[in-house]
Formats: sequence, structure tokens, C-alpha cells
Amino acid sequence: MDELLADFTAETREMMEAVGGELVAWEADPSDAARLDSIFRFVHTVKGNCGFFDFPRLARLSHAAEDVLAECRAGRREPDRALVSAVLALIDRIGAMTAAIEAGEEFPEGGDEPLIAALAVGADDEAMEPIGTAHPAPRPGEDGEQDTRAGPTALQRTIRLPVSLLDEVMKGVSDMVLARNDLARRLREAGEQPAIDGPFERLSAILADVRTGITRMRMQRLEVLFGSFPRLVRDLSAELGKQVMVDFEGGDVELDREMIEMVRDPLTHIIRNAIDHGLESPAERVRAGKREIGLLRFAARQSGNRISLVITDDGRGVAGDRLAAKAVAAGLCSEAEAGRMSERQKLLLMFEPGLSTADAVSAVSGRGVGMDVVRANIEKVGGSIDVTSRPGEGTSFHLQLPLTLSIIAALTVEVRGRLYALPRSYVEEVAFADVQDIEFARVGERDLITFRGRRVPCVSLAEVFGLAEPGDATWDSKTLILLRLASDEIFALGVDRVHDHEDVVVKPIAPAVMRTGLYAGTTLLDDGRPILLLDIPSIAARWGMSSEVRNRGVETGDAPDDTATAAVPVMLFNGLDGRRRAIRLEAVRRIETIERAAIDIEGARAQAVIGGDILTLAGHEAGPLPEGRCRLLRLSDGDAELAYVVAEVIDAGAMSEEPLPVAEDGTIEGVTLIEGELVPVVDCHRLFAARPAPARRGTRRGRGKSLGKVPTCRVPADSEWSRTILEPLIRAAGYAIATGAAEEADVAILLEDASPGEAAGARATIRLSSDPDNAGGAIYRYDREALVGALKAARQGKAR
Amino acid sequence: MSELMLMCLIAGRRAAIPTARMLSVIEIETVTPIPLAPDFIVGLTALRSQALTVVDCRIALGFPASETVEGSRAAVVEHDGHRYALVVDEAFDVAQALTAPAPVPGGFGAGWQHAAAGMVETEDGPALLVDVERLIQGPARAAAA
Repeated sequence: MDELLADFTAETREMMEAVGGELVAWEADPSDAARLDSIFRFVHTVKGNCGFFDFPRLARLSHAAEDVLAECRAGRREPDRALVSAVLALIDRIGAMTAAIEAGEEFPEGGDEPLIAALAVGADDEAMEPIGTAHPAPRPGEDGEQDTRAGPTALQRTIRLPVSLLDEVMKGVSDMVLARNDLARRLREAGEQPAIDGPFERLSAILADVRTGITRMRMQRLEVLFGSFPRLVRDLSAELGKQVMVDFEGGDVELDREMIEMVRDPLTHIIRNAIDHGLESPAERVRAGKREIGLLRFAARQSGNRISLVITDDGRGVAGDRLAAKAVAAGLCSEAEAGRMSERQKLLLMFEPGLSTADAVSAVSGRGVGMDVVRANIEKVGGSIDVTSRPGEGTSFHLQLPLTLSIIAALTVEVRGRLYALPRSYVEEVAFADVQDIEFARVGERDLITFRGRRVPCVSLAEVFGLAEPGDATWDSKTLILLRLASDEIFALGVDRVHDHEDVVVKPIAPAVMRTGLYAGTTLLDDGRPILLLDIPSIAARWGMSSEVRNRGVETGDAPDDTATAAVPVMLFNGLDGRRRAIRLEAVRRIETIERAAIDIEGARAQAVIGGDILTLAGHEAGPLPEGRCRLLRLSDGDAELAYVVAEVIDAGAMSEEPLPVAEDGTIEGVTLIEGELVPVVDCHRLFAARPAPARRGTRRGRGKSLGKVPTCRVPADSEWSRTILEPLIRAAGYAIATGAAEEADVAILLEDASPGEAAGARATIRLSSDPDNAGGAIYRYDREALVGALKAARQGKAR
Repeated sequence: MSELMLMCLIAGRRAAIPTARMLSVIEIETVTPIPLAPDFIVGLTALRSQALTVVDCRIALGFPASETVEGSRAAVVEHDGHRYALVVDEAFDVAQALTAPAPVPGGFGAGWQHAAAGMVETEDGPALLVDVERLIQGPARAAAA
């Protein structure tokens, strides 16, 4: 609130200064309507702000002034000298009070009434004169003005600055840093000079502080933005006869000033829409069984290098069908197209130009700006907007804003002698291939690493840049950066060297470079060299490391919401033969996109590698696999998973009845009508029955997700041999690796020098020896057959 | 028409770049290449703590690349909030255009036609007026198709 208050006083002071000239001019010519208008605007604004802050005296004064000025504007009253003087006295008073508020002082009681009375018709000049000069009222005003001047030393004041000035200062400081670095280099070359080195170090330290300060100057809490909303909401709801409550969350999230200004208008528009169209009138709300007062919620969160901002109302929601009908009416799409759209796609229609969500255009929202402009503005700053809605329950707008204009923490890496930066928010871990225990594997054309028990796809940055042929990466000399995407998927990026952590100011990059889809911006290193900031999500998507579900109109999670209770949700897709089919949505875990190379078909065996899991492939019998990227439906029966390759995912739909069985075709459950079309429904039961269920046995999965069903085996900890050689063998034998030392395990494998305590918690133990001739009851560690046999025996023992 | 132009040499031809949006003329020091960027974008260079996108005018106009970019002169222009350094063979003086840009019968030739706004007369003879915006877009797409 203090920040808001500071804003209020700053704004008032600023307006006072601006209006000062107008006042003088008005005094010279009271009939000047333009002057009158700007003075009116001033008192009007002050009045509005006061209502918000609970300054009753200020509110009364400004209200009185507003009333009389409104009379003048309406021509009901002729401004004369007496009136002008009275208004001037009043405005002086407002200034004095504001100054007192700013200084945190009590303003002397009383003295307001005569000022207000002087505004009345017939309050003559005579009566006015003493008020203006002799009455004590203006005195505090003068004092107040002095306070204003003296204020800066005593108080934390805010000032307003153009962002361009900030940028200029920032640039100046950056230049200073460059000059300093240059100087530092020269000093180093010149050798030690204590007389100079000391002061130079101090200079460096000061410069670093200044830089931090400037950097912070560019950031602003979202509170600043939120602060203006209650007023807006109040005005709008009053105008529209609605009752609205606002709720804020995450006001302490910091965002670049410039970005805040950029999103102000779009947000204002969303608020306007929400109050006008989203929220119902109190009577309607009561009828619908809701609270009379509508709720508008703002929630901001920083996630990685993006800010997510969600604006939710609990109004009537948006009916996708109505939007679709409007879109058809407006000629944006055909009826057939609209019919095929999912609820989500229909909702997204609201961002199309030429579509208004309201039947009746009201004075508030019908201002010729549509949601299309909102989206365009958000996208202009590199953000995105999405909408979800539940009829009768409300609508949410999800904004994703980049920090591109802001400071981000970056990791600088080297590839082929060049430096690049990548946002640290994605970095999960940095691993050194030559030191740490990392296992490399090549599946098709895809490199995989096993790190901490996980199979992770990896790609070298040189390969991404086209500087290296796929596959010729010498992994053991690389440093691997494990990156976690927003979708929680992990992939590894191989670089030659990791340099440093740095906070960088990211600048947008030229459009032609942006189109490469590899870079998010540029930044300057401390020594002034420009470097590129990598766009990790784009790189991941381009290399098939991300499943990309977000980009598709189909979301498995959302779809069931908009289907009637009796209907069975299905997913419609085109098989590789180009024919349309449906599959029960329940069986679809997600949609994946992988490289063609990650699919391996050999005779009857067909497998696909998805994010480190090997899944049995189905659906490939229908036709040739597409070149490049393949889309897969990842199916699950609860335990086992398999991948069904498709040509194209169409949409989520619903079948209203159970499918009609067809005896001739064993691969389908039957046929059903979906939106008037005959569609075969894939038989999931047969699909799973006909194929081994690899995921369940966990043989090739290092994740141990389904540990409950898989026998576990503990291996000697802290032994490189056991991790690199032993673990794969054990997994191949159908065991999962027990991770924690205290964890229960079905089998524990011990080396010869192990203490008996290490076997605690294990139902069986296998001892290994490193001496083939003198094993003495233990198994020689390279006697694969014996080891596998022992593991098998232990497993059967468990089953028995 | 008394617009000021930077007279320069691009691919051996006299050309003029309007100074209205020009910030300065610099000598390119070091260039940081951008992997996978279009070829006419040579890389990034820093000018007073700002990154500039370096455009080789020769390639942008469809000619073979400049031999060395580092050490060449470049005109710094701003377009759409981004700053570019347009690498030219040689940069001469600023001169006044004596005429409005006019087309030349028969056109300027393949590459030039794309990025030339017309021919202007100067005191030192005719020069091609470069359309900075189109230059920055790179070689004509049609040429690639």
C-alpha cells in the first residue's frame, strides 16, 4: 500500500505542476473551456484516487471542486473571478494536504468549510478575498510547498522517469564496465602497481554496486500494475451495475518496467471484458446460486524465465458453441469446420479478428478493440495468451510473459570456441562426461545417456548448429547440461565447456535471426562481446525432445469436460494408411512426437524410444512410417504402455453409444458414428493382449517407476564397476535397482569386501568375487551365466 | 528532395543509404557468428554495449560474400527497434540527393532490383538508393524459389 500511496502523491504532485499553468491561464480567461477541462480532469482524478485511499477531507474538497467545475462545463454556471479564486484556493489546499500525506504528517484540522462555502453561488468577491489571503487556510499550503521541496532529504520519495532515460543510464554503466575491463587488462599487463591497484579495485567494487542498482531500477513489482486495477474495476462495475471483488496473488513477482507497461493495456481490456461480459448481474448471480459479488482474481507466478499471469472470473463462462456460431456467421470458418472443432479450439476463436463475444456491444467493452488486439499485443512482447472456460463457473485467461526484456540468470557455454548463453532456469545439472559415470548409447540416430539411473536423450550443441555431423560427437570429452523443460521432460545438451554463471540483460534479436528458432535474444558479456541466448524449448521441440502436446488443439486432459456424461470420449486420428480411426481417450496417456530414427522395426519386433523409455510399437502395420518426425499415441492399460504410431492426430471427440461390433476385423472393437461419420474404434484390449508389455517388467527402464511389481536388487554403492557393468546386467534380468541403502530389496549383491551389514533388508544375497579361481562360494564377477542364473533363482524363490 | 545520403560502394557499385535512420558509420571489429542464421547475416558485433546484427550488403543483394567483414566499414541503421550494421565495400561522404529516386529503364539488375528504391542524382553522379528495410529482409525469396 505504501508504494501505491507514494504513487498517488507523486501523481498528484505531477498533475499539480502540470495544472499550475492551466490555472493561471484560466484565471486570466475564465471562459476558456479547454483550461476548464484540464482542471476538471485533475480534480476528478484526485477525487477518484481519494475514494480508493480513504482520505475523506481530500475527497470532500475535490468533490466540491469537481461539482462546481462540472456545472461550469455544463454551462449551468458562468465562471467568474470569485469562482476561479475559490477553486484555486481549493486546489492549493489539495496540494498542501497531499504534501502532508507524503511527509507522513497530520494536516491541521478545520479550514475546509469556508473554502467549500466559497464555491457556492453568490459567495461574493468580498467574502472570498479574506479567505484567499488572510485566512489561515492557504498558509499550510505554502508550508506544504516548502515541505515538498525539502522532502527529498527526509523521506523515501518516488520519482517518475522515462524508461529511455533508465536505458541510457544502464547503457552508460555497461560502457563503464567495458572501460573498466579494458583498464583491468592493461593494468594486468603492466604488472603489479600497488599505488594504482588499490583505488582501481575500489572503483570496480563501486561500479559493481552501481550496476546492480541500475539493474534493479529496471525491475518493478507487479503490485505497481495491480495497484491500478481496483480503481478500474470499481468504476467499471459501478458503471455496469455489477458488484465485483478483486483478489491479487503474486504482486511481489518482479517484471521489467517496460514489460509492465506493455501488458497494461491488454490486461485492462481483459478486465473490462470480464466485468462486462463474464460476470453476471447480482440478480442473475443469486439465481444461479452464486454469491452476489463476482470475483476477479489475478495470480502471477514466475516459472523459469517466464511469468505466468492468470486472470480468472467466476462468471457465466464462455460458450464455445456460441463463439463457433458467431465465427460461422462472421464468415471466419465454415459450419463443417466449426463442427469439427474441439471446445478449446472454439474458445480460441475469441482471439480471431472480427469476433466479438458479446451480443450487445456496451459502452464499456464496445470500443472497437477486440481480443485479437489483446493477443497481438501480448505476442508482440513475446508472450502468449490462452483461455479456459467452464460454462456457469467462469473463465480464465492464462498469460505467459517472457523475461526477454529483463535480467535473467544465464550459464555461458563454449562450443567450437564460441560462447553461448542459456537460461539457467532450465538447467537441472551439469555433468562431466569424463569424470562422472555416464553411460552412452545410440538408438537409431538418437544418442541417449544414462545418468543417475535415467535414460535421457541428448544432442550436442555443435550438432544443433549444424557444425557437426550427427553421431560423430565424441561424447566423453563433452560436458553435458541436463535441461528440464516446462513439460518436465529432460534432455541433455552436449557442449565443449561450461564457462560461467552470469546475470545478463537480454535484448531482442533481429527477426531474421529469430526465425532460426534457436535463439531467444542477445546479450553482452562483461568484456563487451555479444553472445546469443539459446531458446531451449524451441531447440528441444525441433530435436523432438519435447512432446509438444501444448501446440496441438487436442488436450487429453481437457477433452472429457465438454462431453456429455453418457458419451465415451475418444481420440480421433488418421492411421498411417490415412484412414480415420478412433481410440478410447482413457487409454491415451499423451501424444508424443519422436524422430523417425527413434523407431526401430526388425521383423516382428517394433519398438520406439520415447524420452528414454522403450515402448512396443503398434499401428505401424498400417502403412509406411513418415519421414522425419512421427506422431505417437502413448497408450497405457494402467501397467503396461505401448506406442501407437499415427499419421495425424485430429481431435478429441465423443461416441454416444458403445461401438457396433464388426466380426470381420479383429483389430477393431467395432464401428461408431462420430459427428455423422462412420469411424472404426481401435480395440485396446487386443492391442495390449497381442504385445508383450515391456514397461511392466521394467527391464529397460531405469526409472523404477513401477517398483511395486518389479523385484528389486541392491548393488554395491560407490562402485563404478557396479554402476557401469553390473546394473545393466541386473536390469536385463528383470530387476530394478534399489536406490536407498535402507530400502528393502529382494536381492542384494555384495562384493567380497562387503560387511555383512550391507545385506540388511534383503531377502536374498549374492556374493561376488574378483578372483575367478578362488571364488569360494561367491560368483566370479564376470561369470555372467552364473550371475544371471543366481538372479533368476532368487526371483523364482520369491515367486514361490 | 534534399535528403542526405551516405554515399558508399556496395559490390563495386555506387550506392546511397538515407541518413535519416542512420545512427553512425563504424568500422567492424570482431564479429560473433550466428550458427544457422541466413547467410546475409554475418553475425553480431558490439557497438557501445549494444549488439548489432551485421548484414553483408553484398549477399543481401545477391552477390558473392564480402571477403572480409572484420575491418570493413558499416552503416548502423535502426529498423523496428533492432540495430543493424550494413557492411559496405567502402563508405564515402554524406551527400545530398539532387533528385527524387527514379526508376531506371530496364531495371537495375537482378539483385539490386529487390532492394533499390530507385536511382538518385548526386553531385558526383548517379547512385542507387538502397531500401534499407528490404535489404534487411535479405535476398529476394523469389530468387531462392
